[in-house]
Amino acid sequence: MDPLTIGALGSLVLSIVDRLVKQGWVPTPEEKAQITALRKAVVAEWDSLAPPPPPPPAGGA
Amino acid sequence: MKRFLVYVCFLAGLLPAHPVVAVGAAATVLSAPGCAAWRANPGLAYYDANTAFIEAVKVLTALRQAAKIDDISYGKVSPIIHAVDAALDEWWTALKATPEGETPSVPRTVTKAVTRGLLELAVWQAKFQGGRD
Repeated sequence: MDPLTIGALGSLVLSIVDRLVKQGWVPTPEEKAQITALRKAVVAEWDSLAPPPPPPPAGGA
Repeated sequence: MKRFLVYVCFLAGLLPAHPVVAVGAAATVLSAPGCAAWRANPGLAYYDANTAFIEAVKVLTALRQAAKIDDISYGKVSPIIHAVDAALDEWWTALKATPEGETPSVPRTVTKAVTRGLLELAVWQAKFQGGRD
């Protein structure tokens, strides 16, 4: 198992444990807003890795 | 408790060369009991779905940076990521529109779109992480 997978699994397990400990916990509107902002940041980082658009055809039609 | 099945789906996606496990787990998530559990507490389920989604995109981003996701595959995965992101925005809108003290109502199409998207991301992760090294 490569280090990336191990790291992701560790993070996942911690998330689950956190959830179990907080059973019955309901996130506040602020917490929901924070995780929404984090999601947007993660998606933006993914989008930044898009390949460059192909160059326009030389000379035109 | 069944809401944690979304994590199971994600976990299965992390296991290299085991996409079948991911499909099986996600089928459970998409089952009627799974959806019912999500509807029972839409606020917490929203948080859980976001967490699973964020972790999935983080892993995919790292794989892309490690050149394990080529441009063609990147183009196939991106629409899934944006579809889940948009569905979670819809979910957030439904939560905000609910008056305090009332039980939020999130359209089932939204929760299904999220679970289906997480399944697809899990399968892609399994594909990128297993069998190509």
